[in-house]
Amino acid sequence: MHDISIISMIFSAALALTCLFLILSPLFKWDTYLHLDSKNQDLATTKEALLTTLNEIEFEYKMDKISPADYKHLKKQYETEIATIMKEEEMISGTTDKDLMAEVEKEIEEQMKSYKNKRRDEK
Amino acid sequence: MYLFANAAIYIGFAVAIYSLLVITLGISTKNQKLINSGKGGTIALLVCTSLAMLSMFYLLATSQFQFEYVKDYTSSELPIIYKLTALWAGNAGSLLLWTFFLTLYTVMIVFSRKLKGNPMVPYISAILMANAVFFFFILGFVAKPFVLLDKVPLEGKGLNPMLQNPGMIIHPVTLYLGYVGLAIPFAFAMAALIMKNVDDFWIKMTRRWTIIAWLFLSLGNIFGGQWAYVELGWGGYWAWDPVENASFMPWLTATAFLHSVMIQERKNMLKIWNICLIIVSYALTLFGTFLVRSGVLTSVHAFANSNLGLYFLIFMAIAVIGALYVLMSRYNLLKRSAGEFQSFVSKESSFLVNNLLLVGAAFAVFWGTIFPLVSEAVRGTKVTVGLPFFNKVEAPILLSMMFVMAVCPLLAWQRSSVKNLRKNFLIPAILAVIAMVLMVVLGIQKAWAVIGYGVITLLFITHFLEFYRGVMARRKMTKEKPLTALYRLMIRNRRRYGGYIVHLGIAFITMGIIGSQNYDVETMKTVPLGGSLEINNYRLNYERLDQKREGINDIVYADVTVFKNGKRLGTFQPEKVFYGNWEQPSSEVAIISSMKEDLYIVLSAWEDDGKATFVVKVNPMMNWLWMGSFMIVIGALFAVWNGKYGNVTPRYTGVRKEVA
Repeated sequence: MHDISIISMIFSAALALTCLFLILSPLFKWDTYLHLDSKNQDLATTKEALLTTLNEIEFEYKMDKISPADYKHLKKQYETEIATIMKEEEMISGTTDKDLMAEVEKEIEEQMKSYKNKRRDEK
Repeated sequence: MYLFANAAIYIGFAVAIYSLLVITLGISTKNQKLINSGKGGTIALLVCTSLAMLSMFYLLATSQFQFEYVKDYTSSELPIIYKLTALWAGNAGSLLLWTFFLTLYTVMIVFSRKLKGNPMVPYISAILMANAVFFFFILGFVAKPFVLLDKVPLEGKGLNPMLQNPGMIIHPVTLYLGYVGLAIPFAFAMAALIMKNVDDFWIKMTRRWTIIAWLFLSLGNIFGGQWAYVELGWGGYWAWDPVENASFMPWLTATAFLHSVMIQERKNMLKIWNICLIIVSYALTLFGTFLVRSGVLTSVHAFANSNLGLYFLIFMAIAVIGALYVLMSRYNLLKRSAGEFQSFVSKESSFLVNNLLLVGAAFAVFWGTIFPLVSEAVRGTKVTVGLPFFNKVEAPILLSMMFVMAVCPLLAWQRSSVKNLRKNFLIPAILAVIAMVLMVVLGIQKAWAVIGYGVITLLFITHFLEFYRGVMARRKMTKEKPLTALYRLMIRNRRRYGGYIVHLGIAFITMGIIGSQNYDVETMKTVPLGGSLEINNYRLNYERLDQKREGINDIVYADVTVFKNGKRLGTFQPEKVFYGNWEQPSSEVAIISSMKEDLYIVLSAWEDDGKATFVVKVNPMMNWLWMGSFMIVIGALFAVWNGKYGNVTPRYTGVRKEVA
């Protein structure tokens, strides 16, 4: 009835196999795991957005769209916010530094100890 | 070919169901392998739709009339380009194209580099896959593009001559790209809600998609209008036909969405509104398809009556109910942490007004479109809602929108003072009023035209000032040359200045609309051979009536020499084409186009003694319409262009509470 030729059968089978390969092959891969992106609303992005806001406010003030009083008020508001973020950042980096320093100090102490022990043994 | 093409569709259907299930299972069991298998399924689907499309192209190009679709929409003498584009001339083929775009977009999203490792992707894939299941179901069991006929006809029915126009090659493609494009932000919004991510991540990720979908929708509408103008021979470009409305409604709501997402990005406001807008826009794309394919409304370009529309209606109902359920279940979450308006005089409040106008316009179009159905259901008679209703309702909305667009550049985000607004507004307003007075003095005296052109003048001035002040402010800081400052100002803020270019484009289009709607002149006259007719300052000399044969078509044409103010513009040939394989003849109009106006000549009828009847129109400012359309494209492309700058959106945090 219809023109079901060998070629079209081969092509259809090839298509079916390709699709099967595409959907089945990921099931047999070992190195897959669920990627979970931690919702990293990190401070840097917020800071960047706020800096852009500050920039925009300044620009709009220069374009005469905001009154000087509003400009001062808004500028202060966003500057305070940025300063808060910067403080937080500093605190975070501060703690890391402290940790790092403590670790380094500990390591130095340990090395000193082993060095002293060695010297004692040599004696 | 029969087996292969059908195999592509049915395998696609099976793969779509499998992928939907496996992704859903992967999400609930947190099994990445299952999700990856589903992602592989999206590629398999793209392979299936691509091969089905290629098969259809091959069948159409080689005139395989044993296939019903090929027989119904082509004939052997059809130029190859129209043979190929017949793919979207009928129901089944156009749905195949739609499905192809859907699978293409899905693959682009699923394997997008930006979204690599993002937990939203499986949810988005599942939502898009549910769409794919529906479309493959339609292709496999309802529309069936690859049906064989019992008897092989010697010749096909041919393509409707009206569709044999360059505009028709591209109009459906752009429209479908727009329709399908709106499914992407919808899927993102739903995924974000399901995952309880109520921040603006989904908006940032879909910003470009939405603008591109909007651009394609705009192009679809513009090409449609252009086609109607040059091909239908009635001298207009928009008739508020149900099918035109079907594509105009999602355009309106998508435009509203494009604006209101900016408020969410900057001020964390209107979260629920934005989700509602995208649900409505997406639903309207399905509703439009229901209108076009159900035959419930009579329209010049509705597809043949079929029960296809019903399936779209059911699918739309499921999608909307599902989306609303998700929205309601996250309502409290969305309500929390939302920003507030601080000042009525601010950019965000102007955006809100613009939103209300756009949604109002969409609702008016919706009401006018479905009113015949409502009246039939309630009173038993189908009342047709004609042009006057739409023009009456939409004209003031359009004007108000132009006014908001004109004022918007003068406002700052968060807080603009009335004093500043007054200061910035005064000079443009005075200039606009002077322009209006000048118009009246120069003879433009129709109220709508004067008010309309006045508002547009205001828009041009405020937009010019926005660019000018921006350059000045930049130069103050950087001391750059004016052109460098303008260039850098624009590329550092693509979305804003791209948007302004689009606004200017819309203003040009509105000028064209006002001009052509208010000042068009038409005459119909039977002229003896050698006689002439006059319209405005044109004189048309009718010099010859003849007949020629092109392929299987007979063409009757008249030689008309046109003079403007006594100066000869040339000889033009309006034609009437009688098709060898189509009953109705069509008019090929002669259009003499200039920036000021178009002279539109239609050869309407003739008699044995050589007398011919012409319909002649003068359509003012038509080129402004096309020029505005071009600016929209430029503006939208400028806004989405992937630049180095402007990837960080400013964020306004709202008022600080001193006491609580």
